[in-house]
Amino acid sequence: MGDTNGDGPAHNGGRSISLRRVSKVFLPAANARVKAIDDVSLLVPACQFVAIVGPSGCGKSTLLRLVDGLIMPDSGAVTIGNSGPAPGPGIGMMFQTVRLIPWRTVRDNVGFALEGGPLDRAERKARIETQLLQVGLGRWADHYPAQLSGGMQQRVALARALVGRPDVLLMDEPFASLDAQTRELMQEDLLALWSNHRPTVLFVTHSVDEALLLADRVIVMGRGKVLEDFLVHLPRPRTTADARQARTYGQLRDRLWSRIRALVLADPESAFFGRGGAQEPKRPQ
Amino acid sequence: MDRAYGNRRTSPLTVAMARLGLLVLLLALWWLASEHVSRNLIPSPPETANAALRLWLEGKLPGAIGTSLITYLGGFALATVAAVPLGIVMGAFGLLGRTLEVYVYALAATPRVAFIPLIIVVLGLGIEAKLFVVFLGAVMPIVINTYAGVRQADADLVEMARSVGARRARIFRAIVLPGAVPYILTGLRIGATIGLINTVVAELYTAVTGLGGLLALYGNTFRMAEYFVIVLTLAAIGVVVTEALRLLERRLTHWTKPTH
Repeated sequence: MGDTNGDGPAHNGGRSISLRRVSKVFLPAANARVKAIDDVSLLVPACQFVAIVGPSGCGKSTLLRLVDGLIMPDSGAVTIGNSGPAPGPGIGMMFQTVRLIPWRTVRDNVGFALEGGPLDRAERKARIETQLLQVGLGRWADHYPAQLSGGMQQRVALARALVGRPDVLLMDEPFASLDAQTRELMQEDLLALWSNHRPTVLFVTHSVDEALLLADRVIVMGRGKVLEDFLVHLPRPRTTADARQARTYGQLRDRLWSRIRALVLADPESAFFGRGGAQEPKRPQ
Repeated sequence: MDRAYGNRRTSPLTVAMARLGLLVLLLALWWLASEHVSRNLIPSPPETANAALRLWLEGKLPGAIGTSLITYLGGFALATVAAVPLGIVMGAFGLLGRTLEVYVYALAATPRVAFIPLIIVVLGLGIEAKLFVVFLGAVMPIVINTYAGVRQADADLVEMARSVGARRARIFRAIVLPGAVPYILTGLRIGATIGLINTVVAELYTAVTGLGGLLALYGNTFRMAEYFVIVLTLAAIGVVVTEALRLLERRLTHWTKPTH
């Protein structure tokens, strides 16, 4: 878990993520067998921000669960830093839905990630307050999730993922359900927070623009495999407006989009394995 | 659930007024019926009120209420104390739950009156038998609802808890149990209703006492005004207990309200 959990320097950075020949099969129905992850090898250096794009059901969410240690691979090995994946505050996870505990206040939802950890009560409290201020929720600490807008709920989920000062941050289409404006604001905030502490990030998205705005590197997945893998050489800090004006941005966008388009068209089945199907099985076999 | 249908804009005062209005209407209808149906069958509201006052001053009504409440609340409390932990344990340990659930459902479907002869043989006609009859009625809905509440824990929240490193015990304490509270309270409400019915059943079938006893006495002797007093008293007890549980539910689930 987090080996540098104290109030050290802001840039204590992330841990590397490595997948060596990892496979994972799901059995969504009696006679169905889906290779969610098919012999994937991937090395993500510490502090890199990686966006993963690809059609629905291509194994992106499964990849994140494997890295978080929520599920185990059928074969191959996942390594975080120099140990195996273990769920905990050292790895921050944001799911497709906010997954806030409805009977807990914003403060206690964020604090949930620290409970059972090494911090004492006072440290925990200070950490939570700092985190809430960072995501702009200081005034809302005593509210319940049902009293917040969708964007604010996402902020709570983000704060919960960040409060353990994770050196790996896993985000599964976290902003997919937000309106365009809220989404842009959240993206800018995420970049600001990331540049603060520099965890290693795996960010799953359907949006080519989101991938190019946020990431150092974009991975295209399809049918459980990594199909493309390239670096995004755009200067940082990128704000939504000026990033889109760069020429390289347009070129990258075209390249990425044509690849995804081809993937989706070549594989009509991928739409069939949409959300809630093979992509997010509740009980992996 | 009234909150799901946008009733939250109706102020409590409006609801209270509407309820009061309906009460007045019902009283008027009752009065009208008492005037037009043969007097011996339906007593008028003033007659009933007089009977109530008389029964109260004679001490019959307070005594019967006391006796019945001891049976009712005692049996209900025993059922709660037994059923909530049982439902939780059944939900927590899958095999145990799956093993017991068939028997629980079977027992819940059997008319509880069927057990009364057996209960009388074993426990006699006194307070023990009465408490057990109430217990038997109230216990099943509480077990079943508690069990369902624990089983229907939000899988997404459980996964979230796992991802922050929570182990089984903490997930159960922080996610599963609080999530089951609304179910448990629903079980308590159903149990309270059936418990009241069984209180009267117990008082009719075992040693005739309490409100059930008075009900039989006045019913059999056609003292309809007194009989009405007992029926209304039972209704009032039912309303008070279920409203108290509703209030408790509202307090415990205050977090569902969208505004402060």
